[in-house]
Amino acid sequence: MPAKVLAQRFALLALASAAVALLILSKTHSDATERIRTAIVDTVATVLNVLSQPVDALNQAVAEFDRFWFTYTENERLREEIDRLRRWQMVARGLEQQNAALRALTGLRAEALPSFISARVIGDSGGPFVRTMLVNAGERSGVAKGQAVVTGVGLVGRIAEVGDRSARLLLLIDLNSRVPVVIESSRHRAVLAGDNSERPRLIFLPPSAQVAPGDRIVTSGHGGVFPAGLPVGTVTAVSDGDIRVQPFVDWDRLEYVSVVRFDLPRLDASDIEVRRLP
Amino acid sequence: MNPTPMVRVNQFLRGSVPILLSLVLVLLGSLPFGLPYFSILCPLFGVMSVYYWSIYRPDLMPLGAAFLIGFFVDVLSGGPMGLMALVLVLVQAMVASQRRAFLGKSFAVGWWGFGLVATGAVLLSWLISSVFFTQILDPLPAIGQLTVSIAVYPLMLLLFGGIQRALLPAI
Repeated sequence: MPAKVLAQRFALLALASAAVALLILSKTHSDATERIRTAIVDTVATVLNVLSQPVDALNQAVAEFDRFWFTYTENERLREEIDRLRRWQMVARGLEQQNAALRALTGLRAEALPSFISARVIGDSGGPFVRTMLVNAGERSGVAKGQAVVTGVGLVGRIAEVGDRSARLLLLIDLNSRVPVVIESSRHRAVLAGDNSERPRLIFLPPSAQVAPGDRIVTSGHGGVFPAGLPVGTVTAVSDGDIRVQPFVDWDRLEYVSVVRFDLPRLDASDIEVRRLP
Repeated sequence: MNPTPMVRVNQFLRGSVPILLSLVLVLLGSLPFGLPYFSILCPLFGVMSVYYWSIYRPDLMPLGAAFLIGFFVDVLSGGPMGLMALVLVLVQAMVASQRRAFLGKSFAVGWWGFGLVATGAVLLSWLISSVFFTQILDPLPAIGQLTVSIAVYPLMLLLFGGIQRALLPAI
């Protein structure tokens, strides 16, 4: 066997083993491979940041044209919506005052208000077996692993990996996504489990729970990772044990997202003082 | 006569075009285009590149380069690290060893060959991903991606062929 062929075979064996080792490492020590990955993504992010700008501009131009074309129908729809929202505003004002009065009466602790970090989507890579996106904000801007990511309409997912200037967000439809939720009206708890399809499944719902298509699903705040009450989606189909939810977010139109900085209200000295009172 | 240093630099730059082009294509493929299902159906640029150059210029697409391109895909995708690195190394090894079967053959043979290789690559990545995530994954997105890749391959063939004719005969 000539030396060249031998060298080729050796290279194949070495590189294939290296790839398999990497696969095993990313299964057993995902933090190690994650560090390598975020370091490289951080570098690439600067390029993606620049390249994604003309793409964004193009998308916006298309959207603009769309808006122009449908101005009339859009206008009609918005008029109706304004009427509807005006009525809601009156209801909300009343409830706000009632809520404030009741809070004052019972001395309920105000929940910590979340703050938001805005980020632009610079990468939509994923592939057939994972649903992730890259955003152009990282540790420097205060992004941390596990934080919820939302848009104006609802929950997008959570931060899975954080670099210095970029972060990877795991969409709630991804196979590995589990979000504690409640059915808004009945307050039944459940977990929204992604399975890479467009419509994630609602699991661990108590057997007695009544659920019907059209029910709104919001985050429950259990587990302390996400703030409670973020809108997630609506139930679309219920068939023995398989409950599907249509998320509010339109995956193809994600340009800007907000990362939710949320610190759970913790026990502090004043709480303990209160408890010591007889 | 030994080539002058400038000629060597020029040759090196031209020679690195296949690898750089592959990396750029992978990078472009991960931009947020806002097209429905784009991230799922994005053509397998890595497999196309490694397939083409392993047939026509295996000296410019060695195993290490295939590994590098696959690794880059894995880094960007957020999937199992090492998955596409393994797949592309195997694609390079297989295609480079069988390149005589494709060299100088018609366009249809090359296309057919790509279809076979891409099917194998997708099947393998589906198998490995299913083991990695310890569940049988829905193969439909992967089949969609494969179909798009096979459909797009003739266009990429034009691009690769043009680059090969314009930049590489000299080396």
